[in-house]
Order: sequence, then C-alpha cells, then structure tokens
Amino acid sequence: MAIVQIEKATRHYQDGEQVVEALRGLDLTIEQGEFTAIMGPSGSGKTTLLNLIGGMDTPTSGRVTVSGKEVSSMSKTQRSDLRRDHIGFIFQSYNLIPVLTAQENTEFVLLLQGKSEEERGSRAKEILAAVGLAGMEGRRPAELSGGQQQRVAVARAIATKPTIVLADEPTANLDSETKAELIGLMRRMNEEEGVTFLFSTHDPEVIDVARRVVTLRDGRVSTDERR
Amino acid sequence: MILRMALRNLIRRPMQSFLASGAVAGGLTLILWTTNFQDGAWVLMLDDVVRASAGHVVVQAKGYQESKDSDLLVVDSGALAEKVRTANPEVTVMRRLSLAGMIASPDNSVAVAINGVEAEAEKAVSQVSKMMVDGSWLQADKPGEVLIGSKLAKRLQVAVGDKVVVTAVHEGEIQAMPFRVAGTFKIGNPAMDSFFVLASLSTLQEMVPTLNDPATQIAVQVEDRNAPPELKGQVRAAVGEGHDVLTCFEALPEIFKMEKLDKMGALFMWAFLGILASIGILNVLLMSLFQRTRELGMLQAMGMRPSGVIQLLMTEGLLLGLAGATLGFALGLALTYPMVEYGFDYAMMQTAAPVSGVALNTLMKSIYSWDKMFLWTGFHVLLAVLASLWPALRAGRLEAVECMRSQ
Repeated sequence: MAIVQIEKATRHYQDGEQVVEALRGLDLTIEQGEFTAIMGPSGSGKTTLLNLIGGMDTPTSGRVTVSGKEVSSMSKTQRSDLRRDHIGFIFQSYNLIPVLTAQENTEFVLLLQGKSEEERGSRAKEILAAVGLAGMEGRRPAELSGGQQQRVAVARAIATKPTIVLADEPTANLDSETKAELIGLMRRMNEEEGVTFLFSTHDPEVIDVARRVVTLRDGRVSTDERR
Repeated sequence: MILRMALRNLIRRPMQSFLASGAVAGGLTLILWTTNFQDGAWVLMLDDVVRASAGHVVVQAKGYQESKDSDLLVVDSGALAEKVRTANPEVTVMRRLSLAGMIASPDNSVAVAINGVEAEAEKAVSQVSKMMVDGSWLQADKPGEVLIGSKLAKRLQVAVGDKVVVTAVHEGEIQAMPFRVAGTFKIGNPAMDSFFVLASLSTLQEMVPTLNDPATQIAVQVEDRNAPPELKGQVRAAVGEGHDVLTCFEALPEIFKMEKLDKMGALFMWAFLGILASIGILNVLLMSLFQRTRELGMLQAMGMRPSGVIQLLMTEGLLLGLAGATLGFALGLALTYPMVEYGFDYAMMQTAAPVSGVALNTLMKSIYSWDKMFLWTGFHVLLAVLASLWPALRAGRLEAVECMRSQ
C-alpha cells in the first residue's frame, strides 16, 4: 500500500535575484514497510523532498499525498496535525528538547496527541528500553552522548507508531560504532515493528542496508533500485 | 508538560529571567509602597481637614457655601446644636464662628482671620493644640483670650500675657474688643502663622451683637473616619429647613477633588511604570525567540500546532510575571510595614501650604490598601502576559522549515 505519493512535484526558492529549482517535477511512491535510502549529491533535493513529505514545506507545483491526504492543500495547523499523527522525524543534529529528559522527549509527541499520562509513560519506557536506553530515562540531552541522543531521537520518532519515519542524514554526526548500532536499531524497528523508514544519506554503510535506494540528481529521481 | 517546559526554559536562562522578573518586582514594590503611603497620607489629611475645618456633616446659613460671606451666619446655634445632640447622642457637635478683622498691638496692626471655637471640643480635633510653642490652649473659663501664630506675634511684637485688640466687621458694623494672648503656635506655614487667630466662641459672639448666639457652622462629627450615609438626613431632620446641611464632600469639594486628581496622576504614573517593567519581559521573550528559533521549529516539526507554540511562550511570560509580581507584592508589603507602624514625620521639612486652611498632623502613616495591592499585582501579571503576546504570536507564525535552517 502506497503511503506517500509524489506526482510531478516542483519546489522553487527565491535566492536574491536567482530562482533555485530544488525539485523539478519529481515522482516517487513509498510503500508501507519500506526501508528506503535517498542519496544524491548536495543540492540534489534530498532535504527538500523530506520536508515536502513531512509537511514542513509545500510544493510550488505538483501533488504530495501522505496517508491519502494531500499535503499541498493543507493549512499550517493541518500540517502540524499530519506530522503529529503520521510522521516521525530524525534529524542529523538530534534536535531534542534540551530542557526535557529522555523520557519526556519521548513522551512529547504522545502528549501532543492527547495520550494519558499513564499511556505516555509506559510507552516511552518501553521504547527507550527497545533502543537500549533503559535506566537513562531521567537524563537530559546534555547528559547523554551523541549516539544516545540520536537513540532518544529514534525513540521519539517511533513512539507514536507513525506511518513513516523521515530521517535526514541520521548517522552524519556519529562514530562508526554508534552508527552501526543505530542502523541496526532502525532495521530492527523496520522488521519487527513494521515502521516505514525514508532517510537521506551519503553514508555507504547506511546505503548498504537499505532495501531500496533512490538517487536524486538535479531535483529529479535519476535511479530507483529495489533490493 | 507545557508548564514544565516553560519553567525549565526560564531556569536555563537565569540572568535574563531574573532581570525581567526583577523589573516587574521592582516596579510593583515601588507602586505598592507609594500607593499605601499615598492612601494613608490622604486618609489622615482628610480626617484632619474634615474634623478641623468642617465636620462629617455641617450646618451652615443658606448661601454661605457658595459665597463664603462672613455675614451669613446661623443664629441660635446652641439650640440647634442641642437638637442634633438629642437626635443622635453618639455624635460630637461643635460650633465655629469665622470673622474677618484686624488684630492690633501698641506696635502694629495686621488683617487676620478670626475663628471662634468651643475650646475643649476644638482641642480634641485641631492639630494647632499640638503645635503650641508658648502658653497654653484656650480655656472655657477664661473667655477673653486668643491664640496667635508665632509670626503674627513677632509682627505685633507681643508675647503670652500681652494685650491685643481685635476688631471685627459684621454687616458694616465695626466691633472692637481687648484680648490677652494665651499662647502662640507654630504650624510652619507662613500664611497660618501670620494671619490665623483663635478665640473662644462665646467671646467672639459678643462682636456680633445684632444676632443671637451666632455661628458660621455647626460641625457634626463621628468617631469613625467615614460617617454613615444616613447622618446627613438625621441632622437635616433635627435642624429643620432654613439652613444648608452638607456632607463633608459637599462642604469641602476642593480637597476631595485634589485627592482625586492626586490619585489620578499617580495612577497614570504607576501604570506607565508597570508598562516599562513589562517591556523587560517583552525583551526577554524576544531574545529567547531569536535564540530558540531552531528549537521552536523543531517543536512544530514534531507536530506542535502554532497555537501550542504561542501557548508555550505565553506561559513563559505568565511565569515571569507571576514570579515578579509575587516578589514585588512581598517586598511592597515588607516595606509598607514600618510606614504603617511608625510612619514618617515631615515636621522638619514642613513648608507646604496647609490644606483648606487647616494645620495638619505632620506624622504621615501608610495603610494597607489591600484592594489596590491585589489589583496592581494582578495588573502586573496581566501586563506580563500581554507583553508576551507579541513574541508568542511571532513564534506562532514561524515556519518550521525556516526555523530548522537557522543555527
């Protein structure tokens, strides 16, 4: 079942006098349960593509549909709700809320969904244990290593059982050991929990484990390889 | 969790938060202290003025209030006063007779305002009795005595025990009588110390021989600072028609207008001070907005609605306001306490004009104006929330994708 459908999406930015064409009529479909890597050189449109799917941005033209809902016609609040209920984000620089503990960061989106305190607490504990952070629930981001912070980010992204997790170069700031652990964790979540992952990356180790690799070039899909 | 996040966001920038709350606390402390002092000073001053120059209710001749013509007098004042006392035994009733005239000694003569008073009753309400510098207060059994100001004594070159001649005019008739100076007072105000003369009522009445038992006013006073509203009706019923019966608000409109103007002026100044303090909060939240743009974008990326971001920033403003207002309230209360207990005596710097020609108690005390204290405290919290509105709305308008690009 297609959970993301992108048809002829373009995204143009004004950069001073110049118009930058980040996406130029891109077509892409993501099926449920996929573990997909998006690769391509800098400026090929990887981050723009993730932003459109995540409703953080809207296309200049074309259609972006997530879980059957067209993102381009949504209001800002509707796009917030889409992210809250259907999308998990993992960022290169973790982007945890610095004033909240690992547990509270993981609970955050569940709170936005209106889940009860009890449900939030047990789900966050369960997920943190699953990502190997049992016993560290009370630590704030500043008290965790980079790899641990990224694990919290993964826990936060999958805590709500989203339709898709979008990860923008999730391993870029990690050492090789932590990177391997994180890749293993995402694969495990994909296989055991059925979470759909779509991540942009330059990292050959990440690309190696992806079951589908989409290459972007000049704002279009140049290759789409399923393994 | 919004509350927890807001609180921790403030704690992680302690200096900024402290300065913003401190501005609110400092402003509120000053406002509460001055409000309590101003209210206390006005309560005492109005009490002095009402008791010494009128009464809670006053009976005067018809037309006197408008013209202040010293020829317009109440006759048979003793009988009228007795009727009021009989109708309401709990009130204090006293009579006063004010005449324009001259006072003369062998060396000089000066135009003065002469006030005939009932010695014992007046002593209880007049601050002049506490400002005697020489001699003693008027005595009922020594009718031919006067009290004069120290400056007037100097001009006349007289001292306690010396004789003076007082000349008064009533309906064109001049009457002169000899008096002995029983005492001198120093109020500290040149006008009162130079032109104010006190004599016993019965003696001064002899200078108006054409009228029976005349008085300028019959003052009715109660124990409390505020008279019950029905007092005027009771006095009116006792004295009957033919006289003006006025409350102190009607008899002394200028002083109450002055109070209103003074408080109104202070209100604007304090409101302005409160707004200035709230600018501190606006500043902190705007700084926070610029410093946390990426973080706020990330909250939106997680699915927080723009209204949630607005709520977070406004909660931070509310907490800053609450902290500042609580501290300001406590400090304002603490600083008010010694002013309530011990007050401030401005005798050493008393050069101000007397109010309505009345010598005032120089010891000013604050009162706890609880209603205003809570109102001002609430006003500061409200201002803090309002000050956070603009940064909050700006934060709500941020686009997540733009925020995430910022460093």
